[in-house]
Amino acid sequence: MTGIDIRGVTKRFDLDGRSLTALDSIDLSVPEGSFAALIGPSGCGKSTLLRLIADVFAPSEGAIAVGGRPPKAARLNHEIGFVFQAATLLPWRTVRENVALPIEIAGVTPRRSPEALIRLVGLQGFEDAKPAQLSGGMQQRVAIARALVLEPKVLLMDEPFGALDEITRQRMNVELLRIWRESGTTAILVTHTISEAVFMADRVHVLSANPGRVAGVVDVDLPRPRSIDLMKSPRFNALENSVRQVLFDDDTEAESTPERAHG
Amino acid sequence: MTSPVDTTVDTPDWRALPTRGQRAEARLAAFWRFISRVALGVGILVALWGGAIALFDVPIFVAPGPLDTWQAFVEQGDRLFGALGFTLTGVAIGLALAVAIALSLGVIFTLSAPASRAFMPLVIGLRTVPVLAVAPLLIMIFGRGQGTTVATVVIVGFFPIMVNAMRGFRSVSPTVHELFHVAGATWWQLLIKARIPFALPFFFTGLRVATTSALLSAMLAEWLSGAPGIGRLIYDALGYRDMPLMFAAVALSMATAFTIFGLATALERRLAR
Repeated sequence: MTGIDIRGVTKRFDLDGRSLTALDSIDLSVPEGSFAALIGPSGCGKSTLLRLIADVFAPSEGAIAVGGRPPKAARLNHEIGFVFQAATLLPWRTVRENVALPIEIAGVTPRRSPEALIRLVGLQGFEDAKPAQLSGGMQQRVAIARALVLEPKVLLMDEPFGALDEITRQRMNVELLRIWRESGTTAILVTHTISEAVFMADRVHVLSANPGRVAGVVDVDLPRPRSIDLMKSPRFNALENSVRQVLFDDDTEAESTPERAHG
Repeated sequence: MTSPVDTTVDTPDWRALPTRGQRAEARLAAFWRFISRVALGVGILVALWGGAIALFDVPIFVAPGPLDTWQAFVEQGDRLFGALGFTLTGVAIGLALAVAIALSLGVIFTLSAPASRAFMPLVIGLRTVPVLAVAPLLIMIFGRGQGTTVATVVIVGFFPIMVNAMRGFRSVSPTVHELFHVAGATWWQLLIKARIPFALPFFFTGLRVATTSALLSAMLAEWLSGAPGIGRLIYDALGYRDMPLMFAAVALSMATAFTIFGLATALERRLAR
């Protein structure tokens, strides 16, 4: 099984000799093949948590298991795909060459060709284009194809559409759900948009800041496949409000003070 | 043809992208514009020079006009180009060595912080020593031939190349590092597939700076060492008061410096894409 299990994870950073706690005793699990969203205010350590799972950093305390194994083993076995907020494409490489980068690094022959992945993300015809010739949304599609090219069991996404406009973003989200269903990965999406979290995920994990803690969990029981129309339903709005409730729980007392009312 | 519910609005038509031929054509047109501007500038300069010599009736042993200079250029072309070839050989060998040393040191200093801390001050120290001060030492070591020229070019040239290359190696963004890390890349793969390509524009900036100072330092080394290059030729022509030859040699070295600079800049632009 390739679910993700996070037990009592604390992450501290040293900044100018001071110790800063980014994440404090996080307990979180993501079942195999499910879609989880991490939402929280800036500085809640949601991106840090994603990087701990990807073995970019090691936790200060606690343990993470990706498919029952430490993140490092999962990473070196090419079980992790990562999509960054910026597409992070290599500008001198074509779309095809960018998608093939993990294959070159791993030195393996994947079951699906880069061309197949490019088709999956809807970029057929652009195989030989350079990143500079693509729009922001298309660049991010390339980044998703690249993250999936070695058929990872886990897909980690750090606000992948954060830089896109609202309309493109909603369309990309629908596309992403289709791609996720087809690839069958366990997905974690970091976002700071409530509607996006509810629309995408099976379960929304809400983090609070300073230090980052799990403030609550909202299970999303909306049927799949999901379409934009779903966002108009009362059930969707109720779920959004549940997330909002957990997110702003700490602020309920402050809400009566005028200067915080609009914040 | 397009359905009303188009899910790929952010997908422009690939046929609208400029083709290779169109881009080459645009580049060629830009090149000719550049050449004609340069020709115009040189033409005006030569006209002013000729006009001034004629107007003030300057004798040829003080300063020759464009025609006398051209005559010297034609008559002593073999000598001029022979000397230039000698100098350029020194410059080329020196620059090749400078690049090799600069890139080796740059990679070592980028990858190893202890090595950087230990040797960087030494390298900067070597850089700050005036070449003129160590020239006699270099002549003692490398002799009155090509050796001193090469050594001077290396000393002057490797530093800008190394500094720029290191800046390039370090210009790789944190997310690119993370991308390679998550993919399980080795330090070597990161170097080959990311650090070096990202460093190329920086490297060529360094090479351009080094190349322009290389000709200067080579000619200076020849003045001091007496090696038979274009630098020495200018010095000797001045000594014999052969002003047309000196002017021709000066003009030739200026044109050479300009050409080298132009080639280095074009290379920089070409490969930075």
